[in-house]
Amino acid sequence: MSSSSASDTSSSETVGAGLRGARVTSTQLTRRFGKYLAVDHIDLDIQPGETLGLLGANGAGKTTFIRLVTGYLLPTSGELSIDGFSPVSQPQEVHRRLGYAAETSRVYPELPVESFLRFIGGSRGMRGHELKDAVLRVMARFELEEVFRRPMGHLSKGYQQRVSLAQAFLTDPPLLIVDEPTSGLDPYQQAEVRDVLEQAKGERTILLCTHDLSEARALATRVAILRRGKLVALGPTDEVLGDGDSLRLFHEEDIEDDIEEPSAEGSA
Amino acid sequence: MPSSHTFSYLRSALLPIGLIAIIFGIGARYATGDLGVFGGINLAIGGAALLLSFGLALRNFHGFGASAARAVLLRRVGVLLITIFCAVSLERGMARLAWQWDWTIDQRFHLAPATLKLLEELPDYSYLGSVQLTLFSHPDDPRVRTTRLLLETLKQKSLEEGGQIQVRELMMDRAAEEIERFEVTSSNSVGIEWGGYQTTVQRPNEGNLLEAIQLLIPRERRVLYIAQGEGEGTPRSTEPSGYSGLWGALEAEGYELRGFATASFAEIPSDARAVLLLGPRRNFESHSLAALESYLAQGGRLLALLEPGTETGLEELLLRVAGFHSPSDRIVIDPLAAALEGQPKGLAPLINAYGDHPITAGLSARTMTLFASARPVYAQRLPVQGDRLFPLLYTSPNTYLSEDLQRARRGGLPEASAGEPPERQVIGAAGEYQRNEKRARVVVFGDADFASNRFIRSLYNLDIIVNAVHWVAEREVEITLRPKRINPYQEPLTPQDSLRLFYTVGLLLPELLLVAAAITWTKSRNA
Amino acid sequence: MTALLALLRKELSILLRSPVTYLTLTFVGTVTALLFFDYLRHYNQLLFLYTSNSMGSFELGTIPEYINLSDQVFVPLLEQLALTFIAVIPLVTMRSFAEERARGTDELLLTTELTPEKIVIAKFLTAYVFVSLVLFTSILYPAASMLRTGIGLQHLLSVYLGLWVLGIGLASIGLACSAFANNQLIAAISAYAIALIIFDLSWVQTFASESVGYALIAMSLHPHFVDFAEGLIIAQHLAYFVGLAAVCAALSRLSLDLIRVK
Repeated sequence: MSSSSASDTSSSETVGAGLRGARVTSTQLTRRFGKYLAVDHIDLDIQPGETLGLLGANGAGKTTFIRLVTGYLLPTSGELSIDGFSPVSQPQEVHRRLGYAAETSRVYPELPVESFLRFIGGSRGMRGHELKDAVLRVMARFELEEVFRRPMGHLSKGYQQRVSLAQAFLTDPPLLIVDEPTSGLDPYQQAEVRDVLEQAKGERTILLCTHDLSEARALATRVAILRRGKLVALGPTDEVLGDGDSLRLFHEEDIEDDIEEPSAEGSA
Repeated sequence: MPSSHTFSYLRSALLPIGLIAIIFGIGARYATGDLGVFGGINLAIGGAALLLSFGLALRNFHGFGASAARAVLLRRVGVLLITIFCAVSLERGMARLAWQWDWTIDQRFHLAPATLKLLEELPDYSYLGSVQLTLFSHPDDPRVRTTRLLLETLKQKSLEEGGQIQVRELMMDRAAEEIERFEVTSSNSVGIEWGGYQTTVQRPNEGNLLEAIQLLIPRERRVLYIAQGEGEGTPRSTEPSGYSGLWGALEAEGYELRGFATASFAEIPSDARAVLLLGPRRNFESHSLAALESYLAQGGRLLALLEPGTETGLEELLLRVAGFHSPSDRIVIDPLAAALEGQPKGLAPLINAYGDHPITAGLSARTMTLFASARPVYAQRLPVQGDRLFPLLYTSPNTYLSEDLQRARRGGLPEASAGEPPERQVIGAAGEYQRNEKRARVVVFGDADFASNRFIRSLYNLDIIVNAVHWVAEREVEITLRPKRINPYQEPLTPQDSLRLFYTVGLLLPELLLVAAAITWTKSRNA
Repeated sequence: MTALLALLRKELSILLRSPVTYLTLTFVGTVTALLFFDYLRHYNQLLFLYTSNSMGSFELGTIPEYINLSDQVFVPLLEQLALTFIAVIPLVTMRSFAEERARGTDELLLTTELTPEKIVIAKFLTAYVFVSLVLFTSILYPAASMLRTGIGLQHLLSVYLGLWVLGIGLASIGLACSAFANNQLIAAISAYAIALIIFDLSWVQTFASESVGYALIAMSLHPHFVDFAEGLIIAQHLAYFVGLAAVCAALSRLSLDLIRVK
């Protein structure tokens, strides 16, 4: 099982030539909540166009890592850049490149679907025909035409998840972050969401945060595994997850003999 | 040792408990007007709970971590501090500038030119110290608010002139000594203290405050003689037909007034600054007319108010010596004038056109004067080349003259005299004459009632009569426009109107809003 | 600007889609109508009493000066409506930031191109629109009455300008509380507590030194809006409410960064 060096300095121009997408680089990224270390000196380099699966048990630090990337949280230490822009000092540049579908649907129950999508588009600087076309496009792509006038509070969880994904696709962003996209959905809905993400692969960088190994196997080209805030494994999906009992990767007692720790300094 | 979970629970619970206790503590104070035991205990408990909650929060505080976070927070706290500084500076700056806009219908917070003039003059008396104004108030007295604002406006305006006005407020129940000293009997009184003298104004307004301060100004008093004995109005009578209002106003403006019986004087006293004739109704004795003529020939100063329909012998003197012709058998009728109580419409002209003269300085179409009934005053001819005559008050172009005074006295509207078309009439005029190297001045008004107690506070009547006295007495510098008496809104709304409004706006509007709420709710349920 | 307008549209849309908004407006409109009608009835009764005593002739000057529209109707109505505002406005503003946080939509907002400043501006402007709607429903009755009597409309506008700036102040306090509070309940009761504490601090004068008492009064809401009832617009008072709104907005902005470093 291989690991990728966090000190890999390859630029998106060389590695990602011919691919659309943003490059995400974290160096010794750390986040504490009081005494609790949620993200522990993570070194990671996500290449343009790559779909990276971020795996880990609940509380492993996946969502915190994503929130650091989006700029919603500030890091305690370390560096982070998205296409060279820091979420700390240049959040607007980062947000311009970002589409984000959070773990649970972040919707306004009172707003009809169309109004919500128009609001998100507007808040991303779209207006006029551009906004109208984008809303129609994502509504068609996520099959929301039937419910576009209904308040989101009246939608099923599956539809809410679709709306959440649809808003992330509105601007066709170079970096798409999806946090547990199929959580709580029935198998049919899960398949639908995976189809959408499958179609989006390669067109942009996708950071897929999940604890569903089959989802990671199906969508991710590489996976990174977090445990108690530490990056404990990173590499091509097949190599990291293999064919065995991959769940043991999430548990501390089994890990030390099986996978190689990332080589970044200070990660202990 | 309690667990961290217990601390967290305590912190969460103490915050709302503290806030609720404070709400009820303060609420009790507002409801009862006193903090009391209930309020005090609640505030103490609330404060303690909040402090404890804050302490527990600090216990869990582990700092703001990285330099990046600290920098972001520092920047934000810096912005907050700058905002607070700017907010306080803006408020203080505006307090210093004292900009304000008076939206009252009677412009009650616009200081009159006379008040501004007084504020300008006060620094001349700086050796007397500041004018100390003390407002005696009771918290439940609503009238105090207006007075407080008026005093504050006076103080702010005086700051522009050197700050000679000091203002303080004393609660009625906490200033027994001062209440006794100023002999205050009720809330909303202002004690005025200046140069060792003091006075008290009950129910203060700009006008009576101004007069009270003016009376304290130490200045040489000019003597005015007011003729009596020929049917004139009683100068000190407080009846509606009396002239005590004019008397008080002239005293406040620095005059000493003396009544004198014209018949008993062979000549006008030498210390007379001017002579006032307030509507004589009987014929003057010939020696009285001779005394007046002699007085004017030596540069005397006369203000004559003539009532319509009264022939006193003065008319001939005024025409011959001063050039004014005021026929006693004519009365001015303005069909557009409003009716006064007990009079037919048309007899009481409202004057809104003035001649160009110091007496009418500042008066315009918006600053009207009201006359009860008037006779014309023509500037007929110049007695001596070089004399100057000035028309002061013009009636409206619709005015006509009538000789039917009997009809007017019976309450009817007199008809126009034959052959006299409607046109502007002059009902007040002034003249200036060079006599024996002295300057004589005469002002004649074709009405006396306008200066009586009944009408002197109406519109700008006080200003026109007092300014005329100032001009006649050669004290032009005192000419100004005085504060107007505030007539508060005291118009009723009829029960029918009130009920109609209650049904339409009071009930219909809430009903429509409720329907809107129901529609919104139904729409969201059925979407 | 597009992003700000989109957010403003969304905020207003949510406000106008909520039945609570209309219920609140109904409540305020009804309370105003009842209060105004009651004060006016009392005022008419007093006038009737005095005019009856003067032999049936309605003559100005025979009625005590304190029986006038300003003292008998405008000022008490203003005081009562101010208390109504304290009761009502925090109930609406408590949702603003706290509900976004509870739903997690704040994370959505903060990862779009909306800057935190724009979010604060939109939230504050929406609350001010709500205050204006409340004012509009409560001004109709007195305004209609004043038009019937043909006097004092400008004075009435001054009274309502006072109420409006007070509403702005209370809404700003409510929004700042909502921005810092973890839930809507805490947001509402902290807004109530702060509004009541700073409503009128003159009573603290008895315990404090003169300069402290002066400073406390300068910080109070009441002395800054009551003069509007007299028909006097004082720039200092307007500046106070502008400053209060600015400080609350800066506090709310600070809270958005506190979330990032918590």
